[in-house]
Amino acid sequence: MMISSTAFSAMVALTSAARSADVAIVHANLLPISGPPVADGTVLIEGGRIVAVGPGLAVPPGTPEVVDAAGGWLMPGLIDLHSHMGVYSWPGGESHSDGNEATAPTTPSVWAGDSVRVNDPAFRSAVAGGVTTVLVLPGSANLVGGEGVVLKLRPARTFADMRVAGAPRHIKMACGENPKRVYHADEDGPSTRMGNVAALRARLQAALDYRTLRSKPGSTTPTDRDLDVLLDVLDGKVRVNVHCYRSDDIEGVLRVMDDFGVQINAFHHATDAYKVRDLLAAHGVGIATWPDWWGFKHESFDAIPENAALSKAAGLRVATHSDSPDTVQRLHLEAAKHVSVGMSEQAAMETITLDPAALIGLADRIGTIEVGKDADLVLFNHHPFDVRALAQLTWIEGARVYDRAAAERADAQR
Amino acid sequence: MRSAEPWSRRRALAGLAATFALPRLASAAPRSGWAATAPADFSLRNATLVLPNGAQVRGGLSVVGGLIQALGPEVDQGEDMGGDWIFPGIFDAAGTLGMVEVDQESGSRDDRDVGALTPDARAIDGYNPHSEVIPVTRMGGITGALVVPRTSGLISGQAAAVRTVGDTLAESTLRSPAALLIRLGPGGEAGSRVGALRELRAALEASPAPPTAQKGHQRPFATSADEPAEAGADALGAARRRELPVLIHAERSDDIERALGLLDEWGLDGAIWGGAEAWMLRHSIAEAGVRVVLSPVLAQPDGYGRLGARYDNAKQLHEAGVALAFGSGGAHFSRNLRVNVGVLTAHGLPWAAAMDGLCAGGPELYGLPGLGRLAPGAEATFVRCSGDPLQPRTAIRGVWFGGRPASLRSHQTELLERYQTLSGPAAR
Repeated sequence: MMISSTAFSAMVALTSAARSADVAIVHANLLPISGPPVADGTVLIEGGRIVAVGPGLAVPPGTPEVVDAAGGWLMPGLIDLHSHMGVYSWPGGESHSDGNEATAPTTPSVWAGDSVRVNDPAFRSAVAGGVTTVLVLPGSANLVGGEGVVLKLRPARTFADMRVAGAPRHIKMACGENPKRVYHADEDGPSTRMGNVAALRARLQAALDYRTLRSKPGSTTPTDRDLDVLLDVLDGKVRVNVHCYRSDDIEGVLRVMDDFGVQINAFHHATDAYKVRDLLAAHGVGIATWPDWWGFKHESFDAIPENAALSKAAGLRVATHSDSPDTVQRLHLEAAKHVSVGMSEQAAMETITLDPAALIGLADRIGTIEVGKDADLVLFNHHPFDVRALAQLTWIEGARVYDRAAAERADAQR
Repeated sequence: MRSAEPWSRRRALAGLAATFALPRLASAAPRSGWAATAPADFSLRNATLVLPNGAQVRGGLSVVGGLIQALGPEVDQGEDMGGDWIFPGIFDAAGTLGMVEVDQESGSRDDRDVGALTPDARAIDGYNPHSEVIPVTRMGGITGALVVPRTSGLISGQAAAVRTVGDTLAESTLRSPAALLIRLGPGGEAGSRVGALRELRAALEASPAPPTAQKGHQRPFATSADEPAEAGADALGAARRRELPVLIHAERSDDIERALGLLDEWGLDGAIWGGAEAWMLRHSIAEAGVRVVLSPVLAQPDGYGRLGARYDNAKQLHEAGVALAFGSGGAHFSRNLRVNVGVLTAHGLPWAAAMDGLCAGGPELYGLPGLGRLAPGAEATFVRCSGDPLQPRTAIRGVWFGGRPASLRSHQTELLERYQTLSGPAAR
């Protein structure tokens, strides 16, 4: 009999509960994502990692924190692949507008991490919605907008404490209406879609030429940080995330990247993905999208509610993203909307856990409840796809980062 | 605020007759599937009916002459609904449906500025009944909407109440004008709150005094057909005569307090639109009998105008006795109202109050009796769906207006049909 590695590790967990634990969560309706739901589930946490998962496991004696989750639903902490929290901090306004370095069409060397406001109150609201990991990206004004940063939403004092050490690098690119609108009035443009594609191609070629020049003996070509970052992109050292709506824009970016041998990680928003889902599948590219946003620009006018379901069925990694400090708080309900148009509940769950974990490049650490993974968990009071569901407790690496009852008590005393 | 207009069968019939008798423009191909012929009588059975008190009753519903004749367990004939839910249809109580096709396409927008003080601007003059957004909205379970003339300005003008069906302005219009829109808050043409209030008071003072303004005066119900925008020439006067409700956009608590003051000082009949910080003034709002149209439904503390926004705003208002309605504020996202209002139930708003505000809040506020509640004699305008309308996994499966089934086709369903199976050579 074939036993997948996942099934094997689950069996190990069922038969050999940990000898000690820092936290035990017991009697939960467990949604491990890596396998089917488990009734009366136990999760044991030690050193910030999950050390045992299974139905009705014994709690090691002396476990300091035992949470009775009876009636509740425990799932992996939710993951948002497209966030601007911190770089457009609340309260919104010009003072906090730090997401678009709209001074040139390509600004590869800027890094969203340098704009993050650690005390953005939106981070706290997202944790209250059960979100534990986000990819914070620059905005989409630029063809190449700069690098993003992976954050865990622990209530940290410093940016360094939020940042996920060792997370893969991500770069944000854009095509279509935004870059051409932002730079339309500039002498050098771009002012059209064809201008967008030509400018991207020219910039990648410039990076290759720069490498050639720099590699000549005695070269005096000065360091160019922007081109260095693009060379990292060309060398596959950075995950490429492209803001793109229309299917023909997707085709255009793929043509460029195919020519330069660059693998794209995910098209973001990708409201037309369903039209070219075979193309995306053939390229091994994922998407990050909404269930129902549409119509705010012409390139989003062909969005259909079935986009994610069709793309998932075609084998793509699909992340249900928020792109919003508001909807990130209800990412579980955003995923639930896919079920109304035919996606399975398991697949819909994957769009806010395993798929964004894989697209971030941390599927070995987050996105499922499995032994060895980070203990990033959320406990809901109802099934997460029920509109009444509210996160009661959220943990990041075994530490409680949100406690609804405590938050409500504190609120009542204000 | 006006108390709820006592609903009467005679008035509903008058309203239907006025709407249905409108002549169709020759040769315009009907896109809405809402034929101009008289509706056929029919029955539906084995449905889960949402009654006005929020009760969910398994039974059927019979429609005669475009009106609900009977409903409940006793109706056991007609098409089998297979347990699907039937609810009265959502009324988006403030937005820009039909005024905007694409937000970032200036040529497709008719909700733009025309000045600071434009009480004579009419939303219906910018409304496009053939907007592709309308069928998408309809399939989100929305059967009616208040359309505002524009989303800026101090006195922005006259809003219109529309159905999410119809091929002509005449077919689509439920009532126009249905409200006079005033906006309080930061920015805008006046630049500051201080400047805005100064201009607003001057405009009110310059408007003709009402002949016999009396508190509690009830505006007689009239349809768009038999009261064609008389208020157009003198909307401020109509508001001061309490013939036209005033919808005041205010989010910050002090702006809401100013709005309550204006309504009281000038004897206006009106409601608050926005209301992010309304919970802070819930008892004053309840005492004034003013309805709150929450919009956005899930306001966030994301800007200086609403730092006090919180999820239990609706619950606190309801518990204080404030009547609610819900508005999307825009053109494209009415269909998200039902789940967003569902989220309010997670934060303490009773389900029955949520449904009633969603379906009947707008019709009550804008004087549209016969809409928003399933009852014998009410207009047969309702929505079929696969489960609890406030749940995200629920799918909308049918929409009827005055006893006529509406088309379930939209730009989006046509795209789905085209791309459900991929045509042509496989892309690589």
